[in-house]
Amino acid sequence: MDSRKRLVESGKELFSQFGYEGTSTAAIARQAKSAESQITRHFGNKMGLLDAVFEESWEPLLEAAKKGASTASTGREAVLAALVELMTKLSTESNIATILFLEDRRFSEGGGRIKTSRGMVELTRLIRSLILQGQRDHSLDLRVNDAALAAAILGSAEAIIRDRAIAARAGRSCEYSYGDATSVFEFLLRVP
Amino acid sequence: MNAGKTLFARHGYEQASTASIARAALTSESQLVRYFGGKAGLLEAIFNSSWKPLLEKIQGTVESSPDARESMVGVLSKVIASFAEDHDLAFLFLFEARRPRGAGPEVFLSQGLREFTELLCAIIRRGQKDGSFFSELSDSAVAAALIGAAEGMIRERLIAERSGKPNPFSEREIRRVFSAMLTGLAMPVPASAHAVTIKGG
Repeated sequence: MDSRKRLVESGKELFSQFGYEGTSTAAIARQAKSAESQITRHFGNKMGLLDAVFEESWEPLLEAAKKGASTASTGREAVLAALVELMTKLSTESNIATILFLEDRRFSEGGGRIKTSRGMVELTRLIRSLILQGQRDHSLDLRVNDAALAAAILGSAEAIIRDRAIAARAGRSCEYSYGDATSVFEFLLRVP
Repeated sequence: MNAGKTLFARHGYEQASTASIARAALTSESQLVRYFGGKAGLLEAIFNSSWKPLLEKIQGTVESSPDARESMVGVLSKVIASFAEDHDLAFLFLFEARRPRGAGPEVFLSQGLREFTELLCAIIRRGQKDGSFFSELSDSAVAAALIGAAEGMIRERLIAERSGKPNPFSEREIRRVFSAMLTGLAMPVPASAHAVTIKGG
């Protein structure tokens, strides 16, 4: 493995273990048997490394979500399939879930803006396009704003993924089962 | 605490230094450590003191609502109103409340957030008796989904605001989505039960 790859792997491991804030670039370099100067070279800084971790972790998840959506016959079912795919993949990977859903949307350096990872933005875009599809094929309510609905339904999935990751990290089981969570989704998106 | 709240909400928890907070509060870092133990303690104190009045307002709404659905809509309104009144609070609650911090793997959640979640679960259980919520669903899973939905929509608006972009959707549209979701959660038979297994797994 080249040093870039090792640094991303180590970043993933340490960020998920100690949190982004609690991990130093020195510790990441040490773990990767590399040097801090290599982090600067490849990623600019710690935030840049976090971005690379996001990129790599989102890739297979986005693919799974898209694949799930492509098998559905209506827009509504596509939204559900994409989210259920995502939740299924992450239900056994609390480390990745922790990084993707507890460390994203950070205050940017200096600017005070909120920085969202590209993967999260792409997921939001995917869900929104599926919602529009659902509104066209009448499997979803036309009267609701598509951007608001995308933010809401994705927020729901996030909350569930997050709850489960937080419980797993504390060594306890979540108050509700995975099946409980997915069935709630079936109810959230219904055309009256 | 006021200085901490402002600076955490403006620059983020990580990037706001205790030195700059002490300076803004016209005091010294040693005083900050004396009162709060450090930056983490200060954030916790801010969360605790901010949740208290909000929880009281919410409790009032819940008690005066005729049914669980009205309660839930009332809770959303109170949260939106409080965030509109206090922007710094909105940023702290939505971007700094669940970060992995500290030595252990456990993610620290403020007492207020846990009480809020409990309160929503109680509303849902009440709704499962009065017909506002379908009784077969897990109360904590429904609470998580509704909290997430509200957070997701409010957060999109805050992110746009910070980037100087126009609001992606209005408060009215937030309410409409939320109420469509509540309607879905009250209906007993899912529209397409084959897509997702109920109570499986």
